[in-house]
Amino acid sequence: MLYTAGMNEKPNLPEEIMFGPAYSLRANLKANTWTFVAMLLSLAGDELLARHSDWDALPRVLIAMVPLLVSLFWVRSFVRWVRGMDEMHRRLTFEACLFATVATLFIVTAWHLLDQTGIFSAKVNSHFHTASFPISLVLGFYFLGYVRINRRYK
Amino acid sequence: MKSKLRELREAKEWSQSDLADKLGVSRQTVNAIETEKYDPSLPLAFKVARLFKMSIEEIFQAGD
Repeated sequence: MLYTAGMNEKPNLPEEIMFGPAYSLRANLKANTWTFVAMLLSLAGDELLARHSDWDALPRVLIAMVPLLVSLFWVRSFVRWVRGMDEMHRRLTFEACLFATVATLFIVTAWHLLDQTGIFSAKVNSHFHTASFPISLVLGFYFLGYVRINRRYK
Repeated sequence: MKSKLRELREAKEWSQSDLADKLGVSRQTVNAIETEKYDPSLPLAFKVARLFKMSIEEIFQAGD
């Protein structure tokens, strides 16, 4: 069954989670609540780990991994939300996700290659070594990619 | 791909939103098909054909 949205049932729209005239807080919460939870936990975890470097390895590993585990819940809710879209918007979203993945991979790889040269100060580097850095990059590139790809079909 | 969707829709005096509701897609998707910026999948093309009681070939023609 290709269509999860039945007759006379409004399909989900990617614009509903972007700030603009079609924005819907309900849709945004449905699709992205777990992202915000993961980001908050990541920031809180970074702070905890920085303050308690004397803690054992196990609690430190657990604190560090919590945002990643929470992100899996986000993947589930996002996939469900994408399944509620029509075929063109599913394609648009898939292309935007692909763009975000490739762009993030490029930036993160470039960052680590440049890091090896030692050109970044320790302060700048520690900021970009948090889990929120790649998450923010993926989100940013997703929105950028979506806006760019969406122009093709307007 | 060339499409007669716009003229068929207008003949029925449906808006793009009306047609979108009948097909279970968004208005933007209907607009993209009508302006030939998006080629519908085979299942959607069948749905359109069934709605207008025509064959797929009568509604959609391959572009040059």
